[in-house]
Amino acid sequence: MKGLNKKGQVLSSALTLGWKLFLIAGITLFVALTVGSIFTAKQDIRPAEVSILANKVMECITNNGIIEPNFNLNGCFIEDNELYVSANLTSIESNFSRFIFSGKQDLGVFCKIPDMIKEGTVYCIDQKYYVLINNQKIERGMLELTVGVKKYESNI
Amino acid sequence: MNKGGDSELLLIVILAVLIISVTASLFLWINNVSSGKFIQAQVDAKESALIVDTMRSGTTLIINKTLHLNGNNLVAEFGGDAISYSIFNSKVSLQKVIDGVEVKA
Repeated sequence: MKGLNKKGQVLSSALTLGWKLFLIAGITLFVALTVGSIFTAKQDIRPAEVSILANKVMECITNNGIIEPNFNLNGCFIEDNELYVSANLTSIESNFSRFIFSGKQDLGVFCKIPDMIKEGTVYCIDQKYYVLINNQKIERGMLELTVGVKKYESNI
Repeated sequence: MNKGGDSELLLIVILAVLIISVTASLFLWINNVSSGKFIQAQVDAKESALIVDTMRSGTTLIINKTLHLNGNNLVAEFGGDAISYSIFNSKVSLQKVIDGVEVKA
């Protein structure tokens, strides 16, 4: 009977210790995961990046706000294969229109899929600018720029 | 009876040491994490990448961080960590100066 009591006591204290250890481990894990997820999250700078790129492209293809009808995107900073830029120039005064793109074509398709944008796979913006087109005579026109950036692994 | 008391005391001591060490290491870790030490290299790389991308040709500036270029990637180093981020403004050059890095666009 005495032996049984001793065994019971040892088992009881072992169970209590085990339970306490489990509790400590649980609380530690919870705090570490909560704090870690807040402070070690990656910073997504793509919204700022696409905005800068759109402005750079705009500066690159226009000259004092005037755009040539045969403009191109060569040398306009789009050498990275994680970038996509498309430009759609339309005249308000005539039926002139031109569409060109540069960069990774897949990204242009991804920019039109809401789920891809929602998941953060790509980040895209559409910007419209009123421009003057030097089409034999100066015409008023609209330039629609779509800028997309992937860089998923570095930002999410 | 004495033996039982001794072992119980030992368990309490072990548990107390364990709780103190876990709390202390957790506190140190939270302190380091919240001060941004673990993500400082990432912040440096991305912040500098945005600055470099914004630069107009003909401008020069000094960034007081540890940076270098690896192709189109801007690499920032902090506390043994090296994080790279690609830049699209490929017409820049970097040169080490006393205060940090001189960037020419």
